[in-house]
Amino acid sequence: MTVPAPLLRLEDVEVTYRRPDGVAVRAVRRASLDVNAGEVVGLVGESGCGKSSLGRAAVGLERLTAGSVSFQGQPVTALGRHPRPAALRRLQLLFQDPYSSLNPRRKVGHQLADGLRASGEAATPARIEELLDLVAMPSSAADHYPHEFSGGQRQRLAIGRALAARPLVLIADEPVSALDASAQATIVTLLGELRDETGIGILFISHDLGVVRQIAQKVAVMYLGKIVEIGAIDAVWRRPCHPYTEALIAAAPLADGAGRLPAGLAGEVPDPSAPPSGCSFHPRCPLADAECTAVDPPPLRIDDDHVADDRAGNDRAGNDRADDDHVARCLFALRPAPSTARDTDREMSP
Amino acid sequence: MSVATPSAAPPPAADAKEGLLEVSGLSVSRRERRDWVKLVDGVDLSLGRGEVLGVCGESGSGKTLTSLAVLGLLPAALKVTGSIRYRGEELRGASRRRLRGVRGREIAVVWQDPSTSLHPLLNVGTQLTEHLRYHLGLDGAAAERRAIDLLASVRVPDPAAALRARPHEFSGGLRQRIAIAIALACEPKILLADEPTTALDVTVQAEILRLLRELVDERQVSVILISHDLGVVSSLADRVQVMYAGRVVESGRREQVIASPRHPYTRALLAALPGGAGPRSRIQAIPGSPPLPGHLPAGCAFHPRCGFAVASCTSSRPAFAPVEGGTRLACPIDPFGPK
Repeated sequence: MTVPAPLLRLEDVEVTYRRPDGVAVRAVRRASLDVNAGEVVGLVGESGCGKSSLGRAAVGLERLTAGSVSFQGQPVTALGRHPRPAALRRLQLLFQDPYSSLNPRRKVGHQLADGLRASGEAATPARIEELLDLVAMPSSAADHYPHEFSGGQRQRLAIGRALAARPLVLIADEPVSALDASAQATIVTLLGELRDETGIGILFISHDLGVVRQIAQKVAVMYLGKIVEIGAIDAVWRRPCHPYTEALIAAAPLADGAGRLPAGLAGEVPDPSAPPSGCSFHPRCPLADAECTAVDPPPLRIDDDHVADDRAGNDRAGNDRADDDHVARCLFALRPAPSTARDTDREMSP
Repeated sequence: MSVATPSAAPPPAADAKEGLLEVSGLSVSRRERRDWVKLVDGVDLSLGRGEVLGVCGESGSGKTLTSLAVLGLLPAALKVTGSIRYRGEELRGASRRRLRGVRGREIAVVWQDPSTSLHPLLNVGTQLTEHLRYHLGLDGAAAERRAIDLLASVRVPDPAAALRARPHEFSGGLRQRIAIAIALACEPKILLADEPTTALDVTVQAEILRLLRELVDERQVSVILISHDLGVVSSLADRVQVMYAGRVVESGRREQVIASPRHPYTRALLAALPGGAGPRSRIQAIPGSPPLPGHLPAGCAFHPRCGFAVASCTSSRPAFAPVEGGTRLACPIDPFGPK
């Protein structure tokens, strides 16, 4: 990578919400993440794990209680009621639900023009056509209303509007979760092509590790506000070192016709205002022992099966972490390669 | 299929493995100026006791309309034709009173989104006991005892306290468990699950699929599982029916339809799925979009998106014909059939 600093850097980000009863909820706990140009970083976890809060923090929609976010070396601070500074226009957010993110009462062309004008560009028909072309929609779409399109087409239009600002980084918050399988494939393919053609960096937030695997180079797995495992997608998929990552992989149903039930993960995500002691995952973890209830596991670097304690690398001032390090926060991260074999004891009879 | 004379009390013999529910030639049409536009076109469906039938297809393929038609829940403006026989009794055109007796009591529904299918202002106990009082005539105390048992059976922690809580106090997964408990309240024979896990996390989805499996195994409930995700269908269904543009294009046993699909559309749906634990294969989006009702292409509705289409596909509508292994297929080209 010739760029010295990543386009988007999140360092030790903390987001804390205050509930109406005054209790503080730490939605994101010391999360660090980089997004480089031409790179798709997946961010996965269950509902309530803090992945959307981290995504919103990345674009300045959340006030940080600690840590920092920088985009092209410039600090990203919470916007409040202020307009977005010009320097941050090339950092864009894409929402989950294209049914609510597009204005139902305005034609597609007008909404794309809004995006262009907001980023200080003239909204010429040629430029609108170019945007529609980028998202593989016919130029005639400009004269129609959002309801005239299917969910997948609407999400393409929403992507088109985000692209009006010629973003360098796109934060895509569950961009395919509201879509059916074939529309998901369309959007994932489109985002992959945009990355290849324009060199855009994408933070792809999803609860589905299988989808993330289709598009991301790097993946971060979040649980109860913490990134519990991060690394190159192939390394993490081949050898998930956190039992939570393993559970996410095993929970995806396989369309192989064998009639196997995916492995479940018992229990619920704990109340983030009162996280469990030690490792937050221990109440649901099949491996947990007494130590797990007491010790918050430090990040462990997994490296060709030789693993070094990352405590030194934990000091971010040194900034020595290699970009594709595989790191897991689990006391058992170094156990013999766990099997990702799926639960077969409940096979259905054919 | 056992054909019995329609009567208020269906004979118990109609409960055999075949034909708990037999739908044939079901069509749903919408009036558009002078024409009737078919939204669902000639769907056959049969469900045996303890059987899980998976219904797959893209948004707008008519999966949900078919299930609403079975329940008699479509607005009067839509015309329903064909036959819907439940244990030998014709439900199409049945009185509203009779349908109310069937819905919830015999055929219960689990909807996609438990945050909208549950009433946000009523506590869980009220929503659960309503069925028990209406259908089974239980009094307050008996209904509450039964409600606690039901919540325990779908593994909602602390059921007695849950009765007094409102839906927003639960996570999405627990809400869907509660919705399933409500559906099970009157021990229905058929559970119609319309995208029951689509709004949920994968981990929660896995737990709900396991719960449904348990219910089928232990209570011999039959399930119609509607999902756009062939992975979900593959993990639960015994038989699979794939719909496109309001018609069934392939149906058969799960191992056949999902492991060796014959219709190009079934193939395309599978290719669009991200693989599970196996090696990564590049997902392929299906080119184009599904056609809109009233604007179906001539011939096979899938031909503009199909890589195997030949001239005849653009003119003659394929018959839905039986092929080997109990599969039925609406593709005369059959590019993936045995050579």
